[in-house]
Amino acid sequence: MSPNQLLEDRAERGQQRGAANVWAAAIKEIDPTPVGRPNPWGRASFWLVGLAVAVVGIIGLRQFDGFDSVDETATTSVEVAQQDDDPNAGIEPAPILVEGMSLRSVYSTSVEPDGVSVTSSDVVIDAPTKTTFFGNPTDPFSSPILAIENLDGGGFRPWALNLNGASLDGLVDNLIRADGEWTIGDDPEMVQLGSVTDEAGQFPTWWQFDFESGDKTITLQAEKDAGGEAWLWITRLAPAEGETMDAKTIEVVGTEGVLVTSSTGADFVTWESDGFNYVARAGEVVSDTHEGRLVADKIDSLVVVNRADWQAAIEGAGGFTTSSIAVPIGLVLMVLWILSSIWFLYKGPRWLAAPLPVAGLVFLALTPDVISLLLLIGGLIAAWGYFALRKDGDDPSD
Amino acid sequence: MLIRSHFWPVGCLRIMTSDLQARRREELDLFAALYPQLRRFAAVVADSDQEPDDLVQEALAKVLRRTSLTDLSHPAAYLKRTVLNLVANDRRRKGRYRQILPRLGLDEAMSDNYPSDISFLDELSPTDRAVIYLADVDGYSLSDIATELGLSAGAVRKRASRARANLRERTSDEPEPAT
Repeated sequence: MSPNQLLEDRAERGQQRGAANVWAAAIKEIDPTPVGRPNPWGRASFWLVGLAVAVVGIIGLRQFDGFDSVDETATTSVEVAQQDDDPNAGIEPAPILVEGMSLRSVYSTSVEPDGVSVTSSDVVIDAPTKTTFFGNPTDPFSSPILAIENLDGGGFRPWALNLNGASLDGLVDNLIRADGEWTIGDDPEMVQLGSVTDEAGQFPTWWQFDFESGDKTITLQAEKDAGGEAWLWITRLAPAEGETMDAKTIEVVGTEGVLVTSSTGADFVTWESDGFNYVARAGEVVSDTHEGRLVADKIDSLVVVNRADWQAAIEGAGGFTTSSIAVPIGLVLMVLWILSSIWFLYKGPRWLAAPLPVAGLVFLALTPDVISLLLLIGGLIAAWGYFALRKDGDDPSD
Repeated sequence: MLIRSHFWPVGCLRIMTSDLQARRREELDLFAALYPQLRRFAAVVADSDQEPDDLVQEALAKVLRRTSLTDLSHPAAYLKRTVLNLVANDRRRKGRYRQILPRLGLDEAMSDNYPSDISFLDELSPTDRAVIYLADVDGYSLSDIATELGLSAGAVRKRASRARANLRERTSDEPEPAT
């Protein structure tokens, strides 16, 4: 046999499987999924990340819609006390900030809680139906004030300001029941000053602003009362047994407020303005525990500012030090997302490039917070992790 | 128009998937055209105990992991070189294995018993077999073989000359089969 014949025979040896079969086996070797069909799990997982970012975006936008929903629900004109040219006075709390402190977080709701009483009805067996206040008609906050909660079952619960326990007991002994309500007998020094019904205690809008400077904190709460009853704030006192409360008037943010000091040493300042009840408290974080501090010395640091500045402070607050950390991180992540999209479009599996811009556009509409940042990071890790660990051959161009 | 714009990523995904499938089809067509010559080449350069189609499949998978067939300027040459490298790598592995066998006293028991004409070719290196096959059977010029296998023209000439002499010598020594 000649060498050429030997080579020719050798070239034809073996059983031929055919081009199509060899091709299919090679493709199967580099990609365990059937030829021509994409790996559904990889794609689905990444689309889920994109969808999750979108959901977080929508939730984030809805939270900030709280500002708008207050505007939409306000139907009555209100007297402008803080700033005559402030169009949002009365439908939003006064634009109050604290000098020397930064606004750390804002909580608000524009949803009226169903059946929630602003009194302490949840801690007594019989809920109060109406609270009546008695005191000196000319100078109530420099004189004793007695509050009588008429309870559902026909009983009452008394508590007082500027009264010691013995004097309170004496007043309570003289309470009489008339027309189904508890009241004080004929006493010129203790006339009825006002009353709050349970319905009036329902609050349609509630805000809380947390200010901080180092370990020092000030918490400002603002509740829009349904009935416009100035005495509403005093129903929040809920004094403990044996606790006495001293009250005196004090000027706060240009209006008259009441500074209430408890026998326990804690205090707070409260005032009513434009249909909102405000309460401010001071505190300090000591060994990770928030302890109450006297607010009396810090009242002057509460200032009414321009509403645009207030809105800017609110938008800069929320979550963890948003303005200083989250925004730059978010911008860096966005650049990474865009670069990743371009990479996947030209070099990697092209399907990975599609959800990235969608998620990025949604993120652009957000104020970055922890969740959205983590989702962005998670999305990038998922995309590149899939890219690095996937079976070769999913896209032969890379 | 607005509704369509909401779903553009899905549309893009479909376009990309169909684009990928179209490219796969192009690659398959190209491979089908190259398969006969690749298969013959693999059958020649592979050792007797290697299935040519397995070798082609392995080479194809190796290439596809790195690039697309349609992106290669000379896909046939690229695949042939890959086949050759795979055979050479396999030989190196077997060489180490064969060095161990005598120590274990298994060299006789494990040795292959192939027909003599096949064993002639097996005694040549895979590259030498590739050179004389391309030159003497497929009719390639030496310079084309050099390009195809990534060798210098001088190396191809030497290998061809040496392999031919070796084969001629072995085939002339082979006794004629009894009739």
